[in-house]
Amino acid sequence: TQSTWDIIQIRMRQLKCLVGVKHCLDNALRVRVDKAKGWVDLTGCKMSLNPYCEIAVEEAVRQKAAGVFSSTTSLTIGGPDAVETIRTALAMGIDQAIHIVTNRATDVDISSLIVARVFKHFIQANKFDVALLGKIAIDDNNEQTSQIISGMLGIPFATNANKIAFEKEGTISVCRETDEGIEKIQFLTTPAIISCESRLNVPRFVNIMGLKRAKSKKIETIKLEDLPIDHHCNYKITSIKEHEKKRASQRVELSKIGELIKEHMIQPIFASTT
Amino acid sequence: GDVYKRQMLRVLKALPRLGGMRRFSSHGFLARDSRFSAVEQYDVNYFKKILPGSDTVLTEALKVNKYNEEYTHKHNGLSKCVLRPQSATEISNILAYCNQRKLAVVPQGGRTSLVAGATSVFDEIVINMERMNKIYELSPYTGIIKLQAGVILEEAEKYCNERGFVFPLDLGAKGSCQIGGNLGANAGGLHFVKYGSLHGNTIGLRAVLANGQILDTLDAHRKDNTGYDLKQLFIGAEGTLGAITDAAILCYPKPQSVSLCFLGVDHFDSIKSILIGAKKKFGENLSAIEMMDDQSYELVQKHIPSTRVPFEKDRFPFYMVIETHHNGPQAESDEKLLSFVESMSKHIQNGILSRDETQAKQIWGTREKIADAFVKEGMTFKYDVSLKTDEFYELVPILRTRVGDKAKVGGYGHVGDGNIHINVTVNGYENDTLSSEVHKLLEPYVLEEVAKRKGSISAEHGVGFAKAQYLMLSKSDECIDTMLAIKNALDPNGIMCPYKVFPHGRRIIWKKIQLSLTKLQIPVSYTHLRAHETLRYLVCRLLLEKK
Repeated sequence: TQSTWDIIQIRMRQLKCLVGVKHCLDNALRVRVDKAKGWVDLTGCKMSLNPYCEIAVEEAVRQKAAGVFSSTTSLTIGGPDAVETIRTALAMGIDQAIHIVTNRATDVDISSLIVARVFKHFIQANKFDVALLGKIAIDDNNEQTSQIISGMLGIPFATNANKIAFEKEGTISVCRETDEGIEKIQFLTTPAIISCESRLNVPRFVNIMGLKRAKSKKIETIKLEDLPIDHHCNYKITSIKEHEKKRASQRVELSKIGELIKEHMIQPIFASTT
Repeated sequence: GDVYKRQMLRVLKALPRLGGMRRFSSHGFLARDSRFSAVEQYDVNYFKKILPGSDTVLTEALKVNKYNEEYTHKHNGLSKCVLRPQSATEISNILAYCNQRKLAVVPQGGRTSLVAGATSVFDEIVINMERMNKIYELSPYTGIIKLQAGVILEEAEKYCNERGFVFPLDLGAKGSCQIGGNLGANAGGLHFVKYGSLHGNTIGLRAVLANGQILDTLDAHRKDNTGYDLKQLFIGAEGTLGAITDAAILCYPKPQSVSLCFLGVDHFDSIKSILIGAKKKFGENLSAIEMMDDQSYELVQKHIPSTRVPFEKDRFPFYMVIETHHNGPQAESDEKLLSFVESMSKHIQNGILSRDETQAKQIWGTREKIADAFVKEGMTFKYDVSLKTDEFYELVPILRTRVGDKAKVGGYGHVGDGNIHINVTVNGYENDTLSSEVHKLLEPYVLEEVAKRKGSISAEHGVGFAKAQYLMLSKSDECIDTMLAIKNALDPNGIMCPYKVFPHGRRIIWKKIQLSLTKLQIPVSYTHLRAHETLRYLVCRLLLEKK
């Protein structure tokens, strides 16, 4: 049993969490590039929750169950049909959702900079302590949103989180996956941003009781144009095409390497400048 | 004891007069039928002449072994010659020659048959269709797809999906099974409750008879009432009437959205109520309704780590998989399934809804990999039976008490079609005595119980070789005699899939004679009884006199 004082202490230490949720093409489907238009056609394709965002949602729900988070809120930028994905997140256990409505295509028209500005606005306005994002979105593959947010706000961030632990003293320790091994980082202050890797957890299946409860949870809908941020994309994608098929590898004699380099116009790194 | 048996078997196998004998746990001793010739070198030379190309005629043991492997490893074949033709004309030439030379043949597909219908029993020639894997066309108006018999089911499904159609058949073995084999066995599959049987969905067929004649009804229309519908003979005949070379199958338009849920249920009566409710609410939009019990679920969780089972820690006595189709947005489809589940909430303990393709694959994987999980646990005895929905699960607890601690019994299947797969598995493959004990406890008890309840002893797997001698338990003598009349008309030399589908061996004749003689009370000598086996073309005067 916990005394009232313990409960107050726990409540004072509890953090508010913001989770990034992206509505994108289903992970199992193959992207079709229309060669004539030079564009990706997503009409009629099954859309669902970005798998890395799903991992972030699962982590938020687990920490809420463990008593670390007082409340969890999900933030989605997408069209009206993104409501399905938000319901999946709510059914998994998120408390409430914010839906930024826009008719622009979220994979090509909304840059990471815009997304970061939206997150910055809400982190400052609603005073969130922790922001959990997926490390990458599987449609645009930008992998930079969490880094940009931290740069804008000047707050600590950790990407590719393999394990997250919330200590009693208020510090957060994160294990990051890098090419050289696991790196452990400790955040001493909140707010902080963590982006999640695939080995962080295995997201749960959506329970039917959870879906029923999700119907009564609040989704706050705001138009992207109504937010006090600059929502213009500072670049434009002109065309999209599929990768060329890889050339078959071939064995080459050492003496013929010079000709090959000239033929394929590869700049040798070690060319002498004299 | 064992050593003596093995020596005896070696001697019997070597006896040239008999041509070999094999001992099967389910059939006892079976002798090679002496009316078939053995494959000689001049036969192989002839085949090489009529099948041009490399690797079309295989005779080396290393290459031929793959075509002799049977799925359950209990009835591996002994074929020495494998032919891989590429067209119906080549098969026609092969069969004409084999008919004249009296060489037995076995048309073969993906070797996924669970009743040893795909492999040879003795040294029959295997005709494998794997090189005939062309898909000709899919008409966007009628949805009829024309393809060769060697097309793998998964390839046909992908081809249809890309063009906005759905192939009416879907099995767990779709990665290796071929269309020809599916047609030969009249495979049912997971979506049988929506699309029905292959008898209804096959519009045209091209098959080669035993004498080499090609029966071509491939360019058929949906409606064609001219004469007897010959293609229905070949569907479900398991290769005994002719080799199927091409087929025209009706495909259905692809639904816009599909919803899938996995439920945990307490009692089998709840499954029955959910089944009635689902058929009423969804009608033809109900594309699959399956059930499994806790034993099957446990084995999948234990042996198939690549599949993530829906409930990690919770366990229920029964589980159901329900899939629905909808022509509308995904949200509507999910909402409909959700409202149905809520209306049945007093029957359901827990449930999950699939939200994306990966989760759907995991849920289907839990159902489709049960067969593999049982085989990984140990030596498995499979019974695929059709029963009335009320008696659907009755046999499983009966078998559990009968078998006791010796084996694990699991039941799963297509509750929407009334077809349950009962699997009994002994731990591991080394314990031969335990396996044979369990086998004696099961056969023929299980099949006789099914016959008592007027069920089918083989709902969708077919009869093949493993269940040939139990055919009388599901079909009357008159039916079997008529089937034999058709078989003799189309294949008088009996070269197509011998030893399969029809009962054979001394046990059946013995039992039949026993039954008739106990009724007649006539004493008769053992020589007279043995004569029944060898002089089959004569009629017994005793039975004639007393009718």
